[in-house]
Parts: sequence; structure tokens; C-alpha cells
Amino acid sequence: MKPLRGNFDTQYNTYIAAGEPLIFHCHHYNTFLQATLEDTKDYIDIYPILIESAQEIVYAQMNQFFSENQIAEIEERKQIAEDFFMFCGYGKFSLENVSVDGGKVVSESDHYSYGWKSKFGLRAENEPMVSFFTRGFLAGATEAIFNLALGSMECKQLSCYTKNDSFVSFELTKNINSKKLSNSPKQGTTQNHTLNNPNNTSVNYLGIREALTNMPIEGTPSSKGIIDAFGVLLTRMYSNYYCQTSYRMLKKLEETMGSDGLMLADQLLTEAGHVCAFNTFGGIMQSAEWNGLIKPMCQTREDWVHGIVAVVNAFGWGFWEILELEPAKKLVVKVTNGYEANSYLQTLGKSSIPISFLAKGGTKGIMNLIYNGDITTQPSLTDEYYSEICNSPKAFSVRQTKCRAMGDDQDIFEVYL
Amino acid sequence: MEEVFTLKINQTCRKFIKRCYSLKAPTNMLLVELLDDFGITEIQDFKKYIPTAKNTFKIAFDDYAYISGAIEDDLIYFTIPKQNEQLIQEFENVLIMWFKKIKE
Repeated sequence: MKPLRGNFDTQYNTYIAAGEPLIFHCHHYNTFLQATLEDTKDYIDIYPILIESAQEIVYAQMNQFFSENQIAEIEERKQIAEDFFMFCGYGKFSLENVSVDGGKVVSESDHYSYGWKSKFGLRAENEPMVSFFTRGFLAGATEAIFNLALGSMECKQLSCYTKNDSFVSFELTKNINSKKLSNSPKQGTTQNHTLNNPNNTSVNYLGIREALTNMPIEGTPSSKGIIDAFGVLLTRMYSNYYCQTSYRMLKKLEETMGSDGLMLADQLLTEAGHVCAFNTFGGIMQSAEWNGLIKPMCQTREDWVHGIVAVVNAFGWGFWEILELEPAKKLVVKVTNGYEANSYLQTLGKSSIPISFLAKGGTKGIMNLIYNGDITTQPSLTDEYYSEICNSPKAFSVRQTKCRAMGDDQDIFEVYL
Repeated sequence: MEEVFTLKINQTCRKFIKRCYSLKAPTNMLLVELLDDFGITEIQDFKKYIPTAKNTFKIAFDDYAYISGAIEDDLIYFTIPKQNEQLIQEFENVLIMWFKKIKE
């Protein structure tokens, strides 16, 4: 079997696997973002968005990989899909019983199901099972494996850890009439750039990027496709999955609620980014990898800010550069080739509001962790600590002052007191 | 035990706790070798990329528990399911034994 892996492309500062950009995010962001999107279910039909966005992306990626590598054998195609799912930290399943007409899939572990139960506990009786991403992945991969049209497969979830089941399983069936789905935006509207070491810190951005992008952060058969690193469950997630689900929600809210809908989406998605920063960045700054690779370069608290920004440059999120840092007061960050703008510009064109919500919440999170809370003292990253930080008089605010999707040539974020 | 380490216990979101040990001496390869019996050891060679960095180690167990740290650093983490007192005792005994050895 020729495995699907991809490479880190330093020209774009992102991982590309068969045309699809992949970025690191943890279960806190994955499940919190999904919870945020599900919260809009009374206004919009959110569940098909959560499934079909994954289906479109996986279908495009697998088709490209099979075609470029001339892989025609069904069993090999199945192995590639199973292996890639595991490698990315999404979990582990077997397609052994899946035919062109569908079939049952039993999973040994599932990131969304396991991650959700870990973070939020069980779901209520009237709520659906949680693995919408996996449902879309399975449908899209099966279509590509059997040379079926996009939208021809349907996937239901039969059991889930969040429903107190001891395993996770799915059922694939063929649609009588194919659903009309869209093409993946793939890399989108990209920007080339070069990462440089800033001259006002001892933090070695280039060295950190090289070290981290060569680390074997991947799911394996023994880990059942779960990546437990930095105290969180990491995934190499499709950036287009976040963008398609978030921006489709944003557009639907705008359709139903007008500018109030846009404002609501902005608040919800920025908060998801802030939660991500608190847990992922916080976990990283309390990890053995931080202590070994980054902390020895840090002489000041400002170096901690540079250190975590250097780490972000290995996450596939584009190029993050600090334009201005006033200790405990202000941070200005420029993002080049940010995945949010790339995807938005490709699928929706120009926006009337700034749309890089993850980066907006993320930059605010950095300042809150380092100057509002004190991550250097190794606090427990609990909900109580999060509330304490958010409700503190020292809490930071953030605004996106430039946005590529609004016609600017870069994305700029200003975090301030 | 206070001669060997001080301890801070952090919660994680899962049914795990992260025990952060501040050691009275920096870790070394001898400690990594003594801990090797607990599981599978992986060494991350960060010095290859940045000579001033410290290499890290991770010793993984079957159930997502693990010991991790940077070599030549005074912090070591033990992330384990809650209430596993026996394993904690075994781990701390190794730290005490290691500390005695390096002081000899």
C-alpha cells in the first residue's frame, strides 16, 4: 500500500496531502467548534453542513490521490482511507465489510466521540450522536473508493461513546438520487511567503518549525488512531472542514438574521478560537516539548509570546509574525496565507466583515495566557481558570484590523487591554 | 521525598491527572533508563535542530498514560488515570532510587 501522507510546504507554511491543506487542532477546538455550530440548530439546518462538508473534502482528496498514483484496486484504496484516518488522529475503523452498496463500519476509536465525551460528557437523549465528521469522511471515502459520484452515499451513526455505548459504529447506504454537493476549495487563494527569525528575540523560529514539523505527531495502530500529545488529543484536520462548516453557518445566520446573524457568528467563532488557544497553547506551554525545545531560549515573558507564535508556524495555519509587542498591554500579529482567508476567498469571494475568527481568538488567547493568567506557573487549565481569566479586569480584547477577505493584502490582529 | 522532588497536581479535561514533579536535580539518561520498564520509550532529538535545546523523552503506557520530560531539565510529568496509587508509588520509588544513585 502506498500511504497518503503529504508534506509540510515551507512556501505556504502548511501541510498539503493530495491537494488538501491539513492543520493541527486539538479536541478542545474540534468539539467546542462543533458545539458552537450545533447551538445554531434552532435557526438553521446545521447537521447536513457538518457531514457534507467532510464528505466533499474527503471525496476530492481521495480521488486525487487514487488518480495521481494510479491506484485502482479496491482493497488497496480501502487500506489507504483507513490508514490516513488513523494517521491524522481521527481514530481507527475498518472498511472490511463495505461494498459498492454500503455496509457496516465498526470503529475501535473515534476522535470526535472520545473527545466529546472527555470534554463535555454524555449527550442528551434527544441529541444525535456526535461523529458528524466521521460520517462525512466515510461517505466521501467510499464514493472515491468505488468510483461513485459525489453525494451518492449516506452514512448513519449507529453507536457512540457519548451515548454510553462501548464502541462506535456506522452504516453506509447508497442514495437513490445523489445529493448535490460542492467541490472542495482545496488550497484556496494562497499567498507565498518566507519565514524569518525576528531580530528582537532569542527565539529561533526557523529551528522550532523544523524540529516540530519533523516530529512524528501521528496516530498509530497501537494508539488506535488517537494522537495524545501536549496534554490534548491532536488531529491533523482539514482546514477546509473548519472553514466550510463555519462559513456555511455564518452565511445561513446572515440569511435568517441579517447583520445580527453576522455579529452572532463572529462572537461564537472567535470564542471557539479563544478556547482553542487556552487549551492547546496552554497545554503546549506546559509540555516536555516546550521545556526541551523552547523554554531554554526564553529569557523574558515576551520570549514566551514569541515561542508560542513560533510553534504556530509549524501548525499549518500560515505564517504568524509579531509586528508589535508591548508587554502586558498590546500585541499586533500579521498572518500571511492564513487558512481562513484562503478558503473564504476561494468559495465566497469578498466579505463585508473580517472573517479570520480562529486567528482572532487565538491571538487574544496568547496574551490572556501569558499576561492575564500566568502560564509560566503551570496552572490547571480548567473551566474555572478559564472563567477567572475571562472575567479578570486584566482580560484582553481583540480586533481584526486588516482582512484579506475584505480586500486588504494581509490579515492583522490587534490585541489590547 | 521532599529531598528528591516537590509535586504539583493538575487536572486534565479527561479522567486523567497530570502530576508535575520539580526535581532537586536535572534529569539524565540514567533516569530515562530506570523508567524504561514502565512502557515504550521514545526520545525526541531536538538538539539535532537547535544545539541549545534539550532532547525530550516520553514513556507511553497502554491506556494513554505517559511519563514525559526534557533531559537535563528539572521538571518531569506523569499523566495517569486518577486513583492509580500503586503506579504512582512505583514511579516515585524510581525517582528516589535514581536520586540516591546520582548522589553516590
